[in-house]
Amino acid sequence: MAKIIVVTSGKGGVGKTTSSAAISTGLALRGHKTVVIDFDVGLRNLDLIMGCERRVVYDFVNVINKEASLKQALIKDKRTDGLFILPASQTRDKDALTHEGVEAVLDELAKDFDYIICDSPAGIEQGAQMALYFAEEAIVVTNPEVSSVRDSDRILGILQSKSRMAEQGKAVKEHLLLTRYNPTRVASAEMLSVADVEEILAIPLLGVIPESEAVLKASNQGAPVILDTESQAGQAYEDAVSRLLGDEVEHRFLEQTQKGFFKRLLGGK
Amino acid sequence: MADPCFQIKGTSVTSMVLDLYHYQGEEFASALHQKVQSAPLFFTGSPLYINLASFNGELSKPELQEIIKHCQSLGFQLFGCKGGSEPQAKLAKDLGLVHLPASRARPDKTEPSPEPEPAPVASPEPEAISRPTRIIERPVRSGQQIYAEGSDLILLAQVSEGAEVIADGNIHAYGPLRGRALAGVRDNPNARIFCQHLEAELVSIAGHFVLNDTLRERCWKQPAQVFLQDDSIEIAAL
Repeated sequence: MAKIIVVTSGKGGVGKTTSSAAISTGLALRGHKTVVIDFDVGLRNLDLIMGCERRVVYDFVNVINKEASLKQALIKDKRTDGLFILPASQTRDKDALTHEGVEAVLDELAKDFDYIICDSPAGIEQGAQMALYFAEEAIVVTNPEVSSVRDSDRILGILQSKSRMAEQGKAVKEHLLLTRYNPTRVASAEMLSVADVEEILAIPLLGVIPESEAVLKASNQGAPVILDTESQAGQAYEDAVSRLLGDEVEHRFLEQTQKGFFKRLLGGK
Repeated sequence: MADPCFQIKGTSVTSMVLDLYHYQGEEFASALHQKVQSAPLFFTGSPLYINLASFNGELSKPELQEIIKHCQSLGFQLFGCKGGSEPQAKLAKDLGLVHLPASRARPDKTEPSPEPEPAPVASPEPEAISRPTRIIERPVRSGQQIYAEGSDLILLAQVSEGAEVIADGNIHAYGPLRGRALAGVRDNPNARIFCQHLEAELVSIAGHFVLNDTLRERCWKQPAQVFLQDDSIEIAAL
């Protein structure tokens, strides 16, 4: 049976799709057969981040409406073995997703895959609620600023009251993924610290992804940032995947990098 | 898989009950008016039924019509009669009221009926109702609202900013209290809020409230209790 994980946040633009792409790639790289589903019907982005936008023929809504089979709609990732993408429809809206339709697709995927990653749209309306309804675990993507933290708190409340697990009286397992973290700006009190966010949300920390140019570069190239193993962001996502799989890994990139002695001597920036 | 268009379930509805002992038009009207004046917001729109179990004699049709008129003009939603004789039951039905069968035991004249009712009955005095304390073990998140009706509320985890916790009785918060907390909302001035970590956006007792900026001056992020003294909110260290 596959494990269904939703990547959600409430707020838009915090890095849900980037994180969905990186984490699903990371899971597949470690030999877990993974599918990542774009629930953002009407504003599909995941295929761009995954670099497969030109190969989209059928989409999630086509499968729900039985206009195409799941096999036809699933896109096999060219870089990573065991990774598949189910793209969203760009021409429809979020009402095209029905509970029964989504459940049928997830049930069919669950037979073949180890992990199903649901990339949620922003907001707390139907689209976002559909993405989280069937989830057993949730990765809540948060930026270190107050409005993002507030929205994450809201989505945590929805997770624990409107998901299928909640209806069955069980709890969805929660993970906090802090993205766009900039230790320098935290030090100058322009950003909330990891400790601040942890104190407000009070859920286990899955990872801290440092703000990095590599993320933008990866998005534009259509290659999940986790494949950029040189970058701090890529390494931080690697660590997060390890923790998701149950390993204990120490958190990195939380402190300002000290300028080296020689760099300072030579006046390097 | 078509969605069914309805579902029938058992439920219990909170309502007020008016125990009628005897009836004289003018006396009834002015007494009811006075009662409502004492707490207009509390009574407005309240569902209400009339309990005839302790009523001496029989109500005539014009009398019952008058009662209906008085109740409606004061904002009650009178929906039924309980108990009384067969002809009374028929009269109630003829006037469009629901008739509820009498409870088995005859209620005491001075107290709300103690035996189990088909519907839980809210008496006008909040102190008179006692329900099991409501205990919430998970965090109360932004946008969520928890209401402990007729009882105390115990919160074992945090209450986030943007969340609202409400109780007719006291509120006890063992995690950080960062949202809004309203105790004694049915005009119970004796209700209190107890918390381990006071960081609330607003605290209120029986409709009196203070905001975050006032709270910051007293016991901020400390264990504290909030209570009402001479109609003003007091905050004291625990």
